[in-house]
Amino acid sequence: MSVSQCDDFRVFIDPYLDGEFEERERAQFDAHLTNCEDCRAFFEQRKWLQSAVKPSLRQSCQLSTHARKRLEEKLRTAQRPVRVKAVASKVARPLSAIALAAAVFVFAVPLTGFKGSLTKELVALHCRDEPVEVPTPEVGEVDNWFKDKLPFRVATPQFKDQRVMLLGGRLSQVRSADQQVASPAAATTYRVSGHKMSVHVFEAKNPVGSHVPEQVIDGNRLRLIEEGGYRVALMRRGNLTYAVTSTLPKAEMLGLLGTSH
Amino acid sequence: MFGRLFSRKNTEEASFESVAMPQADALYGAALRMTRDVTMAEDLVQETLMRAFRFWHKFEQGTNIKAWLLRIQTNIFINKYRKRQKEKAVFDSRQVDDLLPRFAVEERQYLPPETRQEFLKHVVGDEVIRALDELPFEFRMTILLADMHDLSYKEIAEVLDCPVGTIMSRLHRARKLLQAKLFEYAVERGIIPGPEESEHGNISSMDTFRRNKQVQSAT
Repeated sequence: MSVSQCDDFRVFIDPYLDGEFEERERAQFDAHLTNCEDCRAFFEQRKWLQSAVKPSLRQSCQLSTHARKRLEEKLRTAQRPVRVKAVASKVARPLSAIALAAAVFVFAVPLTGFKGSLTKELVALHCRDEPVEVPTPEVGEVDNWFKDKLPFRVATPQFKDQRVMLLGGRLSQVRSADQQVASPAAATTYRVSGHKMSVHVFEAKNPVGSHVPEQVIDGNRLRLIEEGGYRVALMRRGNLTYAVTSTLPKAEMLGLLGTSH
Repeated sequence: MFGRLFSRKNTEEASFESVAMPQADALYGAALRMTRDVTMAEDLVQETLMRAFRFWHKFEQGTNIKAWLLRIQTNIFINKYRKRQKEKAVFDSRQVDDLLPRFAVEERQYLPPETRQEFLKHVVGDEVIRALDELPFEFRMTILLADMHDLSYKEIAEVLDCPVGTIMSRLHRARKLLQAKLFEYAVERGIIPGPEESEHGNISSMDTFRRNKQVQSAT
């Protein structure tokens, strides 16, 4: 690069000021400055202006106490499940033989054609805590990721309740009571005030959970089933079944589902 | 074994607490200039740190934490907030191209040392933030990252996901615009003479400006 021309010098004045050039390149600019009075005056003014403007740009801003508390609270609830999980795995380790037996049951039994309860399977999927394959809080990103991977179009549920945070999605399989083989499912995971919430979307010809009466919450028709300390809400949209599984208290869960769309 | 795993997790949490959290105010300062709105800025910082917490394992220890967090914040802003927000800036980049020749006059204007004190007293201060807020987003961001947060050109290029050369030319134009704005305020306050009174007055005449525009649209 030649710095013999004043124009060259002025075009590259910013990286020169910011110390972006290597020593050798810098020396060329230094030499030009020594020989050119005009550029020296130009440079000196730019340098002065830059140093005058910087302190105003760097006025310190402080996050309000309220916002900071809100943030710390959110982070605390986001941390809690991690600890619970660590403790849980600590306990589960000595029981690995039992876990293995359970796994054999879960995977081997469907091959024999045994029609287990769908809600039990949904709870088992929820507890398996498999990592999300698309980790993002953006509904659109999850929907896009599912596109082309499933035989149906998924609209990831959204909740107006601000406490609900989408963690991401993964592909899964659900075997509903009227099917011999498992059908592909879109699984999305959310976090709600320290509780995990799973949503499985899958195709089912016949309505599932029909032994439980249907309720209407804020215009959303659903069936709520209690299953060993978990609650599974089943909703139908055309051919698709949306199953929401969580340990959230019943009233809270119903309130939440009322805000879903 | 599980004891070790458990304590490693705690160490990770502790390092997030001690490495990322002290950047909250700096992030907020940047968020204020991005959104130009206090509530939105608070929400943006919260979202940024929550996402950073979830992806903490992806942060390479020893690299610039501020640059990493600002990259997350910029991405969230562009993908989510910017769509919602109507840009207050009146410029788009084409208008900036039109305006730059006019501003070149002020840029070359010499401020004698006795005027500089006046300039500092009456123009520099809140006016700098006002001038910055009026710049288009891309220009505002380069000044914000370079002059507020002292990031290198390479780091800015990573945050904004574009080549270093683009950053260099953008920063050059952004500073030119910012300074031109400050000179404009100085003219308004009578600290320096207006372009029409200066010896290069004809360069910024409306005719020259229109002529420049015609040449630009013809090419």
